[in-house]
Amino acid sequence: MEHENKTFEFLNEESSKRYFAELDFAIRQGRHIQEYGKDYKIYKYIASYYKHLENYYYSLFGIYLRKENNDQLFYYFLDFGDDDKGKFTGSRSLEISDKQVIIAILLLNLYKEKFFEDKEIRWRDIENIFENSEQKKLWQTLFFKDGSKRNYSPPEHEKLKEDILKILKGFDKLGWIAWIDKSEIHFEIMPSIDRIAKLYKNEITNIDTISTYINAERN
Amino acid sequence: MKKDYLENIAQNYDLLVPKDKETLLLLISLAKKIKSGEIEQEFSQHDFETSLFETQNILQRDESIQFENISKRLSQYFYTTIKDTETPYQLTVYARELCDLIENQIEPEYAKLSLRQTFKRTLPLTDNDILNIENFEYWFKIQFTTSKKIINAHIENLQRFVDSQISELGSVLKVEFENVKDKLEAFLQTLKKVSEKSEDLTETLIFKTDIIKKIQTAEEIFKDNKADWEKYITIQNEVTYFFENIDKRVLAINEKIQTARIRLKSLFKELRYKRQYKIKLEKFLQYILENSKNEKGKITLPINILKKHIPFSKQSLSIIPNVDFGDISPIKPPSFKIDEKFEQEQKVKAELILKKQESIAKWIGKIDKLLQSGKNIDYSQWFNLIYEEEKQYDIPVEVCYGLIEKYSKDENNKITINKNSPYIKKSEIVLWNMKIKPLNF
Repeated sequence: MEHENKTFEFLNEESSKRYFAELDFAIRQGRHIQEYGKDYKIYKYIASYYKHLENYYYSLFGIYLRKENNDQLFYYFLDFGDDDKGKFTGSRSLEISDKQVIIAILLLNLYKEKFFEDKEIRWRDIENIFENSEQKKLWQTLFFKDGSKRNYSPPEHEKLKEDILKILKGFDKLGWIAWIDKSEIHFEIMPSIDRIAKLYKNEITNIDTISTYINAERN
Repeated sequence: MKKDYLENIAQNYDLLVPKDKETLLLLISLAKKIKSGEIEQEFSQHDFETSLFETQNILQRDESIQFENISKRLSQYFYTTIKDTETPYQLTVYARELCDLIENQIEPEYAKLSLRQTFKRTLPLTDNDILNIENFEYWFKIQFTTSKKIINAHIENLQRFVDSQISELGSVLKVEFENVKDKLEAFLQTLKKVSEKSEDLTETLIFKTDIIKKIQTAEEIFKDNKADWEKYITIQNEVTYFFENIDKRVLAINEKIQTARIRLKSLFKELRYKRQYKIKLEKFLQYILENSKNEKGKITLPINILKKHIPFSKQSLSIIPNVDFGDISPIKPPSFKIDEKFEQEQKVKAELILKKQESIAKWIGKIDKLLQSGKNIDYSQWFNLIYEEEKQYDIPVEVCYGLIEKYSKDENNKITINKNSPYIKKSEIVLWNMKIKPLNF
């Protein structure tokens, strides 16, 4: 990392006065910034001052401002180094919960499947996966413990819907989805959902080896 | 009236709508035969039964369909009968139009018509059409409404086709790699043609501006008569809304096509990598679904899938809530009459207690001084002395307690209490003989 002039003169620019604070609040709370909706302006700002901002966050916080793309759609976010969390130690990190990982991987798969289409998802699409897809039994075993039941009660369905909604609200804050109608659980998957793949890059790349190893252990 | 109308439909539902596949196919078969000239518009019972038999074969029914049952169901709205003739049956307008609607959905006739030609001949508004309200209404109901159906049908057809092509595109990522490039090439060509069709549609609708302008010029003609004006406004709004709606739908279709084409082109470059990556993602999802657990309602990933963290620093500013007290009248304690006598008594009482405590402290202090100077203390004598001066037993007794408390654990002084030879002062009190001796002297 080159260390430029540490006075961060870019902060004196007019656009910094307008957008830096908003960007800083958002990005330090884990948000992924892409060219969409209310983040459009700060996206443009980051794009214009990327090198300066990258230096700023590394110099002062010891973390990296990354620029990644998902099928040529770019997004920005803060990231740790390989073995270093910079100043974001202790409670200054957010653990991605196990449930969140599973749903994020599902959404990423849907995103890739809809390569030629819009990325809008409705609750009925998710419900359809849980109830009618090839992995129906696996989903139902995971959520309801008992995957052999033919039907699940309305309270069980309702609980599942609430759980999924809670997870999606978290994803909205991270910028991984954008609500179209929250009350109907209707949203668009954002390119930055790709971040989950970046976090689990090694596991995804080596999935064949991992699966083979686990199967061998079982046998 | 609306309620009656709906109730009427509900009551006649079974007769209004073909009840099953057999009935519908029979109707369509008859309508097609009439159109093609195979049978006459007025047809015989033999024609009726033959079509029924053919329908039975298409549906591969083992049991024969009862002619009487179907005939009875259709007799109300779908055919009429003429007496005393060999060809008594005739399909109603309702039956024929229903069959046309279905046929246009499945095998659109309009697709073969040039949209541009249809428009040029039916849609434009002439001066005669806006001469008076009757002409204008005629143009709207007959020409515009007919064209509207055709345009809508074209767009729906285009929309359906684009959606099905794009949906099929998704499967490209799953086929064998060797065939993919050819398939992608074919898709690109298809999308190019669809795009051209969409552009053609857009161009055809260009003269809608002329129609809207023409309608606007008719404002002068209809504004003087209220009834005419209301009809004019209704028609104008419907026409404007229709064209705006068409614009939106065509725009949406074009956007879909363009997005698909751009992605298709980029896919060519990275196809092999994208396919492999997609497959790995699917495998990863499968793996975590198979190996995750639900324990007491908590879902946990397989043990070899580690937890990940992202930088997160939630900032919150504490804001002291703004409590607006507004107009508040302070609550004052109620005034009450002071009992001065009681107050005086309490005061005297307190003073006595204070005085007593002062005396106790004073006597203990005196004895303490003597002990420190090495003198032995025989408390029996002191008891007497204190009593003589204070004129009450409380104080010498409290002094005694005070001394015991102070010196009982004191290493420098020793308290001895002789229980055997009590010192009797008065009849009402008996004392044990207590001595305090300093040990360091």
